[in-house]
Amino acid sequence: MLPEFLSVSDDPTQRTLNGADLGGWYEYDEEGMPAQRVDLIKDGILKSFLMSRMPIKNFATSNGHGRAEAGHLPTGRQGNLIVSSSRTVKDSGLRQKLIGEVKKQGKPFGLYFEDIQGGFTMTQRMMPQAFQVLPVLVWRVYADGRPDELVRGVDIVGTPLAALSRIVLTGDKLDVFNGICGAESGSVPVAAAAPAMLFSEIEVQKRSHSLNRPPILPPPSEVDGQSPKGASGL
Amino acid sequence: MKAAIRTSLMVCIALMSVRIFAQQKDWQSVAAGDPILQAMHAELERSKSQLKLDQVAAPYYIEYRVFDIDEYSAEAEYGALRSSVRSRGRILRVVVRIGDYKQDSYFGQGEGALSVLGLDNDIPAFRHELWLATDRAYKAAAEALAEKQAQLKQFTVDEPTDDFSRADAAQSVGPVVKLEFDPAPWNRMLEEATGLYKNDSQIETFGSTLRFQATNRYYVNSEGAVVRSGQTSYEMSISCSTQATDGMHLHRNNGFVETSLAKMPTPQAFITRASELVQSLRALREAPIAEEEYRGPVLFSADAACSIFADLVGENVLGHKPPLGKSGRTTTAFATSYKSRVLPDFISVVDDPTISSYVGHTLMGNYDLDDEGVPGRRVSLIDNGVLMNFVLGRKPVRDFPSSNGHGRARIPSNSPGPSLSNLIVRSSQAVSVEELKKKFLDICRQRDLPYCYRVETFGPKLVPRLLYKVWSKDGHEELVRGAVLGDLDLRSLRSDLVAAGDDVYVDNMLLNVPHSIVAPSVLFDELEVKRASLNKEKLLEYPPPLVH
Repeated sequence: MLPEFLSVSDDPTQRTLNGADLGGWYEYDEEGMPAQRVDLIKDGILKSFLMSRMPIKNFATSNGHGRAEAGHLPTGRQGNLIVSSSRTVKDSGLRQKLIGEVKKQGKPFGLYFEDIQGGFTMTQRMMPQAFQVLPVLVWRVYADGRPDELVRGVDIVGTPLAALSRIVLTGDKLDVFNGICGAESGSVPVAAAAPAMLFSEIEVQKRSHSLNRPPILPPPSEVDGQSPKGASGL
Repeated sequence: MKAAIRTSLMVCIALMSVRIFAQQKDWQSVAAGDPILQAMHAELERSKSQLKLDQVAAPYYIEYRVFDIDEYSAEAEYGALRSSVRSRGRILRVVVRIGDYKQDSYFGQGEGALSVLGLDNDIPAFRHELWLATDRAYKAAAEALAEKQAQLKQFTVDEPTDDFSRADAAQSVGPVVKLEFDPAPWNRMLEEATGLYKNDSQIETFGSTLRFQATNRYYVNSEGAVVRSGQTSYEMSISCSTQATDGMHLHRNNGFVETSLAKMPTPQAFITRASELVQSLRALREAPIAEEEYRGPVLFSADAACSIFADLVGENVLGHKPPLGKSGRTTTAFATSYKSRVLPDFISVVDDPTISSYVGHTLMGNYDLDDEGVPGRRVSLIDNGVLMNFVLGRKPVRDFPSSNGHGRARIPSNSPGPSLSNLIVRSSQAVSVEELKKKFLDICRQRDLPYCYRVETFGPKLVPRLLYKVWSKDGHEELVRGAVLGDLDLRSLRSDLVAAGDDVYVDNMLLNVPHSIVAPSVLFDELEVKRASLNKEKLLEYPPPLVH
């Protein structure tokens, strides 16, 4: 599933990580099962799933992840998802590694994704397994030492296994993201923690955007609150 | 007394016209000091003079409307509060019309843009919101006009009516209303009332709600109208249900609607009413089921008559213009009935927004100006049985080119449309309630019927809730359940309604828009009352937890 230096676990019993509160913390799930730490991917190999009391093939019992919003039926859901890595460099060294990779591939620049607004993955069997991530802050990092340049209108796309196999190494510091995750059993608070990651290759596409005209009149703040004189036309 | 009311109405209308139209005052002197009106005015002026896209006509009309709603609502069930919410919101609606009064862009997405304004009184922030909403409304209007003209090419229009009627620009800035009260005693009242479920273990549901509201409306348009008006409404209701031993579900509900808190019943009176409902539900549960079929006279109380006139007349006197390409006068059953007899010749119906009470009862449909800035006028809808008019907003229908001040919007964001205010039904040959009952029993006896039916009150869709068998030999009454009226329709209303009382019931409603229905008791010469075909669900498997 992943390069062998990466592991993923989900641990709702953990309240904090490196001093940051984790939003997916709980003691019992919505089916009254005690919360448990689950190793999902160990050294790159898929080991388990997040389970509610609804059994699936080969996994007969709950591992304390039956979660739901008020009024919904519980299903197996994320708590605190934590990605750990055994091939790390200091975060400050990652930039040099990126520039090195750009030069190696003979490209003028690489991309640094600083922040994303969200994303989604298609998981139905009838559709191709593909994901799209919607970044907000994307920088071009030039190989020739020019200053970084902010760009807009890029989305990350791809298929999960192919994309994840291109992770070359990671940073050494886990950052925590607390959020609300929506699924069939409603919205529940979750956390995800992961280090910065360097991909040797990633596919991006231009984001579709509307061609609507901007407002016809200038904003009221630009006209000093004065209504124009000599009104006509009505 | 009737003459006296008429005279005072005339005076009222005359006074109002003077107040609103005496002179078009300078804008600043009318609305100065009101931040919403000031922001509206500033953006209206800017948009009037500058809003224009290449190859699209400039707007010929722009309007801004803000509903500022402060509301408290609470709900209790089985003796405890279930929710209690105070909310406040300001909804902005912007309409930009392109074209002209004959044909314009008011169609589909061209019917306006919505937005929400902030609750502080920051004029630059209001203007920013107005600026963006006006821009959206104008662009949508351009698209709507093209779409409308394209659609119109498919139809032949024989008798075109204008899209928008002309109206004088009203300037009336009234006081702002506020919602000020202590919710604690009212919440306790809801809890105490619904706690009465304990008095009857067979009660299944028992709930009670209240909704107190203060709405301030702000309105300006490019014709020069500036309006600010405030209204309060107070509503409380109880509803409960049970199941008879044969499985029939039985419901009762009851409510109070007033314009001021002072006129509301005291908490104790409300609790007494709840207790009466519990007793009435028990009586219904124990009542026999109605006979399979009956044809004969039916007497309706004034309360029941209000429901009949609301459904059969109130809905049909609304002057809704038919959709594009349809040729009718209106969309209702009265579309072709103009100047035809629709009721017996002793019945007349008016709709009158200029009055706030009727023989001591509060009316909910009182206002000076409607939501299109047009003064609300008394309209004689049905004159001695003959349909003479419709209630109208500024969207004209055939034969009725202008508004009569009934264009009102369903709170908070709908476009205004023809709406009832105070619908008043009167008989020119009113008889006393005793005389009406005597007449009813006389018909009953003449036809050798052992009993006749009397309807005290209706549930939804004109299904009787309290229906009594009245025995012709001695006039005693017996409650029955499970019946529907077979043929209560426009035809029977026109031909079988034979007499009306001199009593009055006022039904105050806040649904759609605040309005009232006023009617006397009425006697139908012949109607069908038959057993309803109902699902009789099995009773609950085991008794309620509360066993006495």
